Amino acid sequence: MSIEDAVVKCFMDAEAYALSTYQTASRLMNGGKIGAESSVNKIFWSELDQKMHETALSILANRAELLPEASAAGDVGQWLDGFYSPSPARFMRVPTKFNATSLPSVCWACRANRG
Amino acid sequence: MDFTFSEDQLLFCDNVKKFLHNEVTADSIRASWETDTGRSDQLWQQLVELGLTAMLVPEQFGGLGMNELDFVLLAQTCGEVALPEPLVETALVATPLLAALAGQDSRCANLLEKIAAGERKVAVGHAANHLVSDAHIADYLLLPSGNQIHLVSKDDVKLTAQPSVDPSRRLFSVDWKVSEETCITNGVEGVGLLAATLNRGALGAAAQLLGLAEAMVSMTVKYTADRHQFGKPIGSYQALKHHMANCAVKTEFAKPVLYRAAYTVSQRPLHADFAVSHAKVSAGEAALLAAKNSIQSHGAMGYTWECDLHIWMKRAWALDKFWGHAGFHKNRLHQWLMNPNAKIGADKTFGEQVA
Repeated sequence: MSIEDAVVKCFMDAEAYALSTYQTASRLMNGGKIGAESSVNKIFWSELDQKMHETALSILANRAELLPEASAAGDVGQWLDGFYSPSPARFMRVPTKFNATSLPSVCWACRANRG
Repeated sequence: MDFTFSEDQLLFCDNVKKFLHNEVTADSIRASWETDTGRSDQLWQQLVELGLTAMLVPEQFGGLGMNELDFVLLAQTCGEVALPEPLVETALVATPLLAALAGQDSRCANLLEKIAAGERKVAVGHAANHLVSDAHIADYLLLPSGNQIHLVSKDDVKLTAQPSVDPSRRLFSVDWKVSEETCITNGVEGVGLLAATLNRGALGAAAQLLGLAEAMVSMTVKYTADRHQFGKPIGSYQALKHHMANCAVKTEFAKPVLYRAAYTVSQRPLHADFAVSHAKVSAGEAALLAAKNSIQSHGAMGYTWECDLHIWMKRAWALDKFWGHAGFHKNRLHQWLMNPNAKIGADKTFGEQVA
């Protein structure tokens, strides 16, 4: 995937995430209940988070590997940090683990919804 | 923007959904492939009686005066049942185009009334599509020529059938002669109407793609719950479960994008390009993934003519390329994103997108 393609994809998905949140909020405000979307959300968001960081690192090219304290990193070091840093404060560090646990619940919610 | 549909919209859609699920089945679609036209006059008249061809026709021309947002759930349902009849093309694409010209052109006004009443049918050609679908059952064709749009009688065109991978699709190349008499719009107005037509066509295709995706996931979940291997339903294995979960993520996140596109086309038609392209790309991806993962989950069964899956799968392949393929729509999004005046950000989601 070209960088151009990846940027468009990230934009589309970030926008879709915002719209989906408004959709859920609209439903809750109209008396609806939250359902399988909380599981679907988790997968979508963790994959989007990875994709955005991967895209940013592609754009940074050679500078992508620099740690935040490297002087040549300037103010772009946080992308690498976001991509992999093990700091527990950033809960999205382990997106694949999130997926593994949330996929089955989406499946079951899906099946329940569709009879 | 309130993303919930009104009670009226949901009730109407629900009734149409019940009707379509009863009348349009895999068996009825297979039977239609054996007929000359592949289309049922009887079914069309029922759709007319439900008011569906008249939905976007203004009230003064005998229609219901509704908009794209009212129709989008129905278009989704047409995809869900893989409806062969050109309802989406007629109600969402052809009638709004005729309605835009009905005030200044009596031919358009007359035709509009007759379409609403089920007395005439019309097919739409566009530069985005090389061929014209359902031209064989149309009384009139709306055909582009540069910046012009022509309204041409079926008697003045020569059609050549071009078989599609989807036996339900009926595509035609059209030979016709441009004449001044048939021209209904040109110049700046023509350009604007052709652009609006492209957006409505792409919106309709996106809605159907989403419906197709949901239907394929639904039939595959059912199949994998019924079929047993090693003493358990095959759907209980993660290898298959994850295929369907990935499809669900795609379709769920394509929905609000589709509804925003329908809203934007109805409220801010001149600023709808990016919203429509986003919807077309997302829905196309959802449908293609559903097709791929469904055939995978069905195993070799999914590849057979006897298995109904291919009715939906082939439609998804076709509609993904109809009214602009993914590359075309991604390019539009890219151009819009790179526009220095594009307003991008969480607080701009519902505002004017370009200064």
